[in-house]
Amino acid sequence: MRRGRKRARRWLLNGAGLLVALVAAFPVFWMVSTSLKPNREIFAGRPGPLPHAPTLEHYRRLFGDDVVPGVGFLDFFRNSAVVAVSTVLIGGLVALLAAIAVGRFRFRFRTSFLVMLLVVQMLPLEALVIPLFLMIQRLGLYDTLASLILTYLGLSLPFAIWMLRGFVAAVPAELEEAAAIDGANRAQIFRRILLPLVAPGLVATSTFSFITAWNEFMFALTFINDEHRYTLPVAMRFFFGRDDTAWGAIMAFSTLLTLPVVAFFLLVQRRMVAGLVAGAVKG
Amino acid sequence: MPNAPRETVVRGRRWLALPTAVLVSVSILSGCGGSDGSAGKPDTSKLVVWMMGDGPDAQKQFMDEVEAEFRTRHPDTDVQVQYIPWLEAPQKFQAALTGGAGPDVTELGNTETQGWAGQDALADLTTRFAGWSEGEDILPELVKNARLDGRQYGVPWYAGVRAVFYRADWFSELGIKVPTSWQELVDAAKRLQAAKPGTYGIALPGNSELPFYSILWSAGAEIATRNGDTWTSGYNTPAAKKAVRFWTELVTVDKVAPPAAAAWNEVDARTQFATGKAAMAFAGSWQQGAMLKDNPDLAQKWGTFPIPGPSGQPAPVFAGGSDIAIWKDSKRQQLAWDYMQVLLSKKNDKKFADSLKFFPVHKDQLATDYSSDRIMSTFAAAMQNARMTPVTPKWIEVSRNKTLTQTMNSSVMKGQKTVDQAVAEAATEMESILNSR
Amino acid sequence: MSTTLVESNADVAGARDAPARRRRRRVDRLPYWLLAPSLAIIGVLLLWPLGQVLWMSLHDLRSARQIRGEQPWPWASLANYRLILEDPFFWRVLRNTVVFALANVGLTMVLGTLVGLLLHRLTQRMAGFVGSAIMLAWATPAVTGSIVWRWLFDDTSGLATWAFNALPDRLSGALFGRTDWTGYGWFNQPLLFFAILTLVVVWHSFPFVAVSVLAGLKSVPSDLGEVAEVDGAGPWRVFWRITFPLLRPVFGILIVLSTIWDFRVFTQYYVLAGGIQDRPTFMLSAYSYAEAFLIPPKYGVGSAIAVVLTAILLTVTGGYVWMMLRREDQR
Repeated sequence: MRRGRKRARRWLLNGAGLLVALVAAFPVFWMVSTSLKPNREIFAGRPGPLPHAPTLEHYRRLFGDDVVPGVGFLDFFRNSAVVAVSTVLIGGLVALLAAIAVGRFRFRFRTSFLVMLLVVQMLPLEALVIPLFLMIQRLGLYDTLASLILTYLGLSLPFAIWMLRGFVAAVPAELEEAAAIDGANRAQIFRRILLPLVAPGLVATSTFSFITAWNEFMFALTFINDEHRYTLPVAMRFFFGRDDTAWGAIMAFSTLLTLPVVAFFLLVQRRMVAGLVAGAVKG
Repeated sequence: MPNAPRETVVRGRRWLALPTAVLVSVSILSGCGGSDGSAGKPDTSKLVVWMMGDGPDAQKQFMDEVEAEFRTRHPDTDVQVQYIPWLEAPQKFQAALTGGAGPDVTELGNTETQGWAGQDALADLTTRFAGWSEGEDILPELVKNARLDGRQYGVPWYAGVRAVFYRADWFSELGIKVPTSWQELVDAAKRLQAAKPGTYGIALPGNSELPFYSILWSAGAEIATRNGDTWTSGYNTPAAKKAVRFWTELVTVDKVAPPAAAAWNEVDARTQFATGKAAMAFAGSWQQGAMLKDNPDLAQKWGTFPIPGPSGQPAPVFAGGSDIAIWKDSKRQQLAWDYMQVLLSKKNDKKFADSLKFFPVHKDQLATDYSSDRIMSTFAAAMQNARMTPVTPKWIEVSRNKTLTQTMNSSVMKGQKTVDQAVAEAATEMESILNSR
Repeated sequence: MSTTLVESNADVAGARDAPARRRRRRVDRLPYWLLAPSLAIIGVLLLWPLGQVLWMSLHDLRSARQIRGEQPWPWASLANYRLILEDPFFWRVLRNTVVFALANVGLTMVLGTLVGLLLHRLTQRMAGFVGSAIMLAWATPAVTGSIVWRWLFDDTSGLATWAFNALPDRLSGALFGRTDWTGYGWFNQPLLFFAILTLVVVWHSFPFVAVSVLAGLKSVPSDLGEVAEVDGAGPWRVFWRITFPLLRPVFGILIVLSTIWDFRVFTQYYVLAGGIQDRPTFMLSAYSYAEAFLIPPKYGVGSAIAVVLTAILLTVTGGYVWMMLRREDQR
């Protein structure tokens, strides 16, 4: 009897789990599914879960036709990639330096720096779009991809330092001391010992920075005017207010925008969660 | 305001010294930055022209011809025409004003010229315009509309008015006669809707202001009137309420347009009509091309009639249209003016208006007989009774930022407010904007 | 490329350090060099704008030429603040923002915690499966996630419209007073609009809470709960007596982060509302943005609204940091 109840509970839990999974994943599924349906199925008024006659026409159109005259999907993709990769490279380097400082050295203001990092992580950068806009204008960066790279560095850096710092601290200091006794200088210690051991952490933080830069919408909307320099999220705007028949194309566009992020995300999700919660909680 | 403003500017700059130094590396890394500011003779190798809308083929062809004519005098100048969707235009102008990289010559909606002049975006054309003989015949109302504080900032290019497009085939099939009053319009819409399942009576652009002004004016109300320096909104009046009630009840009571129409703009409404989902639509003469592109068969099936007033007379219409202006930051002012003279010459003006189904702005050309054109004759008649929105640089905030009229109507259609609440709120807010310093 | 840069940096610092150390023991400068780039970026991009937004909110700024530095900035004192505080619309927007944020934080926390507890009880394989599914929702960019929901609620061909049309007419009529949902504007009523926006935001953010709670649960000795259960305590009491106190730090950070995120929702709002023109549904972030970037621009007023938003969030953050530091002291 006890066994029966236990089994019933198991079923109940699994059922609930399935429901959660279904609800959470459904919109993404629906996006991909719609993007593969021909228009007559999309607007048939009788939506089926899967396309009856799957087609790649929306994707072909996306790659074949210009979204606005002279600018196509691949241009937006390239802009997004340039911005995200630059953010990752510059941000990774800068964050690593800072993480070594706080993870390896004791110095005055170390605690102040950590507290500031914590506070700054929670600053609503979106609320600061007006002064940032002023700054970008005065720096002569308005309507350039550099304005976005700079902003995304600011968005992602505090968290990246936070996360990397844990990885640096986890490398046993004895290793470095032994190397120092063997006569290695600081640069050698860094390259031969620290860097290889911190590399996985660098991958995780880079992914986070990449996602931040890849997804960002508000600053890209504000700082970029020329369609040639639109990033993918902002370019989605072109599909609205045209005619209401473009849902297939919109979903194809969305799918392509989502894919790289999901791929990266699933790659490092565990570390990210650990970093976010542990980093913040441990102080 | 008492503080010395100049000091503030300087201080603002010094604040930036440190960040600038730090960030130079970043900007170098990504290889960018503005490069404009070569002194001396302006670069005349190109001229950037902004046109509104999505650039139909007829317009592109016309612009090519204008460029060819312009280049007979300036053979080394490459004219670059860029098309800006109407809804994107304010954002593009603002961006250009911010970044300093704008057009040389631009088209502007005629309700916006004053607003952009007020933003210090447009060059003063007073002297140039006064010395241009071809401009003498332009309708004085339109010329005045492009003026701010006595200075001329734009030159009228074309005019256009709205009417109702209808499915003549369905009307004759059901034996419905063309409506001439509000009641007849509703009756016709109801009969059509009943006889044609799956269609709406009227494709109502609930989120647009310009077609609504016809209803407002025909009810005897005003948008706003000026008395000395003070504007008074005409919205919180019995006549305006009557207009708002009629307009919104098309959705809420008569149900000849769907609830979603509360969010439709004119392009949405036009598309509904063109794709056969509506029997009538409020639309401008220039939209013929786009509708025929959606549905080429329409040419044999449609007709037009004037927007009706409450009781038998056609309603006044909004005198839509565009001005052409020179961007204040342009470094090629003279070249830009040379181009404008070609673009706006009487000959080209007529050619453009005819090919895009607008009206020219010269008095003598407007005298042309349109009676042979089944569609255009309705609009030509309506042109005789055309009016403007309030002439003030603040109007752009009412119409493009706060979208007061659109919000007033759509909030009633959506059931958020009663007519009384909506007009009272819109009137208060309009007055506070128009009378702000 | 990165290595060489670091090396040269380290060499410079090292070269300077070496003779110094010989003369007398001095502080190691290297960490400061290492921190310099981060401090510069954080200072320029986060701290400087914080001061600047306050500065701008005290000026009369309404022209792009002032942003370009071509025209003076007239001092406005508190006029911008007076303007918004006296405007009933501002208070309506503030109310929208606060109610929306609180409702979303509440729903996200409850749903996330429940799913976290559920994941903890599932078998490893099942938990992995459900975890990946909710991760999908989390990973979806805000823009595309919102667009999909807009498509689901499209008023002619959206799935929601179809589903409501598929309801038996009598049921639909009795419940909602209408049977035909085609052409029904799902985003017309502010309340319905906010409900759908809530759906989108909660869908996006509950996975993070769930996964964090799960991580917290994993670090807690699991027998505690089981012991209590054997003692006859129901799941409700086990949660409040045992699980919650143990996970209190996790909940603390989650609530603070959610609050901050939900107060400044912009992207999802922008996509669902189709821009920043739908004033009845404004929240502080959209309001500030619209004031500053719509025509005619009012950078001063927009800044004042941004300052209000920032002040609210800094209070939340400040309270949290203060609590954390106090806890640290107690240890």
